[in-house]
Amino acid sequence: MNPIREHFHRTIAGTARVEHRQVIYGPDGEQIERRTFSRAASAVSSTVDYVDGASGLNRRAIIDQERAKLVVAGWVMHFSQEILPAVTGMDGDTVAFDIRATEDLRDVLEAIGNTIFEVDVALEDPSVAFIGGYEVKLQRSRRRAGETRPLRYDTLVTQVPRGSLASHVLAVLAIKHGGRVMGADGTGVCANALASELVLDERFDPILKGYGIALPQPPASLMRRWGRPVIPAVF
Amino acid sequence: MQNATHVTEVKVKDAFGTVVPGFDKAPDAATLVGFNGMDQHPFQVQVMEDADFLFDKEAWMTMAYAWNREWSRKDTDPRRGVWFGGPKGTGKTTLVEQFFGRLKVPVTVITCNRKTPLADLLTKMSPDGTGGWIQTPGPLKLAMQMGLPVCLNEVSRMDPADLVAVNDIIDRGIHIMDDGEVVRAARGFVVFATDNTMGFGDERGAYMDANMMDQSFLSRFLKFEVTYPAEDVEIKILQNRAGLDEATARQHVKFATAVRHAYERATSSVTMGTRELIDWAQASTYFGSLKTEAGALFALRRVMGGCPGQEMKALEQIYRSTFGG
Repeated sequence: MNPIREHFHRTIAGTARVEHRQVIYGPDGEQIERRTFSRAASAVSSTVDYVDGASGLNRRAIIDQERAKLVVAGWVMHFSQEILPAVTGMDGDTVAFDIRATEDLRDVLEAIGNTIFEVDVALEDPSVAFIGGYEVKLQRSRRRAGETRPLRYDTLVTQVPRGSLASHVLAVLAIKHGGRVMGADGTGVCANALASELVLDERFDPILKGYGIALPQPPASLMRRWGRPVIPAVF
Repeated sequence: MQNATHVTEVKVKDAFGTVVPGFDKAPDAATLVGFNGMDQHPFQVQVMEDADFLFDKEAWMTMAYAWNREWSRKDTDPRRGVWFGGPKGTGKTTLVEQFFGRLKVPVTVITCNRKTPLADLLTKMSPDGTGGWIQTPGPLKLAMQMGLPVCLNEVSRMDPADLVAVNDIIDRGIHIMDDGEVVRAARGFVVFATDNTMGFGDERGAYMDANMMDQSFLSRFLKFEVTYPAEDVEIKILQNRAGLDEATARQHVKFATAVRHAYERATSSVTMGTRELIDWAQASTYFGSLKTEAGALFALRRVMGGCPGQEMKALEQIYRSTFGG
């Protein structure tokens, strides 16, 4: 069984501050990891608690119990998803991203999650984003001597299955922010080619439009008899 | 999803990933129609190893367009195959066969000549063994009924009058037989043509049987002029198919290029296709340890033998200037 994580949030009375809580249930149901953090401007704090669950109990029962406890305490659950195991080049057809942006990618991912994908794209703790079931780690680039910009999570190096939602979202980021995209064998992959599937997914329309990304559009005249638009195999 | 159970969408990168140059830039989402469950069909083509046949990028895109168009056109739109014209041995038929082989689509290959009547391609009367006659469908009729692509080889060798009669079959997929039976082609029936000419006859005289084609017939095809593969590609083919080392393969390709240039300048009536180049390279490897003369020269005579004496002398001269000796 894969671990499950659930996200909760609550607003602290009298303030605009939002507290986040993530609860991660281990694969065997014996361990519950609770993380609580808030994010105001660039200040981020988090605490991690590990709680031993009752061995042998049904995992579902533990999850229900924990969720009920949090709801009573005023938390609202907005996210529940199975965590898919991290992939490597050995796991079939994967694609690796090495994106080095000049802005904080947390903001970008949060905006994408908030506006379009909701639970499918969400920020975990400060350095972890969760895209379509895959955990994506963010890193901060080092500031050069004399550079005064605030620290930002602008680097993303990860590997996800080709064709997954994660690969599509990251392909869009790679096109927008630049960076290397590689196949499982280490050879370069054209991000536009990877993102071509997005023209069939209307959820991506606002992102592509907002970023000004032009992908090959299926010609109106070529539509399969069963309704699938034909993407021209032109390159 | 699809209109027939054997039809499926195949991602082009899965089927053609390593055999089309520059394919990494092709859209991942691009698909072509492939067939399921027809692996054992007698017209199914055996797919060559990746290194044995590389598609020309533009030829592949043209094929992909024609096949995509077939599965997307309106019922009232005409069918459009591709006319591949080019010198012998450039892999025109192989291109069509390998394209469909990788999509698991059986393809009906028919080689035409002056004595191939259209009627025989559609239906044939044969004795039934009891003194009567039985009508058996010909390859063209079968392909029409099953919705399979057809490749007409050496199409300009066929009787022009018969070819004009094929117009309706190629275009609208319909034919009324002599006995009044109406044959309607299923979706997937597209006619491709391969020929040494582009349908305007052969000015050089190397392909004596080639007719000038009726424009109404030619207009039913997209056109693609096939040329020999790039030198680097041919070198790789020779290394893979004949086991030559790179330097020797390069010498063989250099020789073939010189022969082709002479042919293009009309100073020679003999040219060397990739097919003959592979044959020569394989024979050269076999005869490599020949004591009496250079194995490659001996092999060249076996592959290109039969051409006029002057031409053969010219070939040997090109051989000496390429290989030395």
